[in-house]
Amino acid sequence: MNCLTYSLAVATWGAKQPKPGDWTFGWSAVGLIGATSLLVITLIWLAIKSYQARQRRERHSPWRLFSDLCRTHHVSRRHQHILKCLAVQYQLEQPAMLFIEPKWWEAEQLGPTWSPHLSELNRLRLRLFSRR
Amino acid sequence: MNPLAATLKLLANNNNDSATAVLIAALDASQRDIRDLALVALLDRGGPAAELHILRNWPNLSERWRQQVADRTDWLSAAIRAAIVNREAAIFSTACSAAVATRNYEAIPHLVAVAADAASPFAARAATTALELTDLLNEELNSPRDYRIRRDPQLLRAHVLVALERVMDRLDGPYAREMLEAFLLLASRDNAAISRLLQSPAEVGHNLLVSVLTICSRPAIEKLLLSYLDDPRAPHAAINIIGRRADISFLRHLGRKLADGPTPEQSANLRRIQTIAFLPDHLDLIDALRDAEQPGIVHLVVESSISRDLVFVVLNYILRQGNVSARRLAANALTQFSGPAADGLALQLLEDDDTQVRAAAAGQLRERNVPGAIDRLVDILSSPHLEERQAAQAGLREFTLGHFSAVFDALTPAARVASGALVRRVDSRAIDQIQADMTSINRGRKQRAIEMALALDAVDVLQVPLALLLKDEDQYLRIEAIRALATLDCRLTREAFRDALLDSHPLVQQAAESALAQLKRATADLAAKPTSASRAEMPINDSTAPGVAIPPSPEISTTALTEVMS
Repeated sequence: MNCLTYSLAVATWGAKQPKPGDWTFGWSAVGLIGATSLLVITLIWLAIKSYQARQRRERHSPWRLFSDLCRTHHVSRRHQHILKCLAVQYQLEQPAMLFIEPKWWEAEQLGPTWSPHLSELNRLRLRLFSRR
Repeated sequence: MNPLAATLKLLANNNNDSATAVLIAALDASQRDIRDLALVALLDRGGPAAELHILRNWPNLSERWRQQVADRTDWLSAAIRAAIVNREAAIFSTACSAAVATRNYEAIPHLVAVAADAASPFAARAATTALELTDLLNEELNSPRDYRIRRDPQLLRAHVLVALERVMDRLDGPYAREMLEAFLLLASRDNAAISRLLQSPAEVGHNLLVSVLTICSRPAIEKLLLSYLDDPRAPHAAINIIGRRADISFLRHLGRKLADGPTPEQSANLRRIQTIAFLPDHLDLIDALRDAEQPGIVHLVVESSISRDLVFVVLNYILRQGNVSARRLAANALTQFSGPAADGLALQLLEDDDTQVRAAAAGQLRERNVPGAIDRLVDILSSPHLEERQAAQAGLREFTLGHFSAVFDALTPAARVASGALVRRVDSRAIDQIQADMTSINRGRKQRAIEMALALDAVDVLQVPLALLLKDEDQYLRIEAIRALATLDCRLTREAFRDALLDSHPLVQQAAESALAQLKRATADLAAKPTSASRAEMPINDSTAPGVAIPPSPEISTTALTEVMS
């Protein structure tokens, strides 16, 4: 009985074994693998480039520096908006200059259009340029 | 942290490059404190843009800001190096100034490379800057190290020397002198390049090197030249140059180096000096030297191989016009010279202000056979200064107790007294020796000791051992002791004589009796003449310790005495 069972098992295993000529490797398979690889490489390259571009933008971004300074000083969104308008008005290449040059905050420099915001700006200036 | 400080801290540490631009702009802020804080933040931040901006604006920076930049060691070095290596016309000169101000020694090799390029329009500036920086490095090497600065000056020296050594083979360029001076500032005397140049007159740079070593007044180069005195195999050219230099700064260094006396190596090298440039026409240079420097010049002159006449001229000058320490040395050096001029000078030195100079001169009088030398020495014996007394005693060596005792029998009584007084002053151990002889077991020595005590007028000092001799078993010695003690009237002698009246020998009794009678007569004479002082009245306790007492000078001629003593 055992001997019969063994013979059947060997016959079944022998029937599933690949034999020469069972599998054919065609050009379509090569193309598929190449296209998949190219896609993956392109995606990785794009991701790296994108990351580098972002890094570069961040490293050379005056507005990002401005945002960092606003965050450091807990400047509210409303005040951030006012400061951005101020930087745009003065055409400041580096808007962060507003945080180190008090002269940009002077009423004479600002002009009459800023009259409604003067007291608000004055309070903000005192806060940003306080020595204590 | 205040808001402004927070702003600047963020700008200093943020990785956004715009922060550099903001900080650079902030250097021109309307408020001074913001400008100052912006500079500190910019220095903390660093970066090529910041360094280049500071370098470009270096001439316009305040002295305070420049110092702040200089305090950050090597902060500006990359920008300076780039400006020098690229030979940027606009900022080359500024970079040189900044390199000196910030002590940027790493720039020296680059400057040397520019200076070696004769065609470069920056060669002159590069050469002078390299020399200035080398001078500063040498200054740093010779001062205590500041460990707040991490760079090791010795490593820098080695690094710079390598660069300068390359130029030593091409010392024919227009700025070779500056390069050579820079090299000499850092090199030691063991440097192979210097040794080769010094020993090879045919080499291109030999004449230039000799010229620099002869003329240059930089202390480091003078010290380098002087260091050849310590070299057992010093090049001949270096020793010649030492003799050729006549500038006061070099003479100062030389004087200080030799002030404590030359070492054997120095002496050997000094003997190789054939000429000394400042002699004899510029003797007045010696006047400009300080106390610690003039003795060195005496050593230089005495040890060198210049003519002995010239040495005497220098010694004569120093002995007349020199400082005390130099005069002392020169007075001792005078022993090497004989002749009327030297003898006259030695006699003049006896009037010098300084005790040691007078003592040195006194020590030479006998050897020079100067007329009246003994008279002078006898006078000096009364000097309050120990050195002079010792010198005089050394000069009167033959007036010792031993010699006196040997010729004693040949002397007349008057000569014995005169010589005895001299011997007592010269030989400080004479009294002790007589006292020892008095306690000897030898009768002859005891007898001679009593005679010596009388001749040296030392009875008052030796009265106790003399009184003990009254108990001696030899009656003749006892009589001699009584006769000696009879010259001194005091309680002890009178008591001793009274005891001697009970002596077993009638001659001793008789001697004691006559001694007492003699003392009584002397007392009566004194009572008749109360104003006249008598040494015999001195109490026993007033007598000075043996060997210390100095009796007055003898009346007899010491010249005649010497003849007798010899």
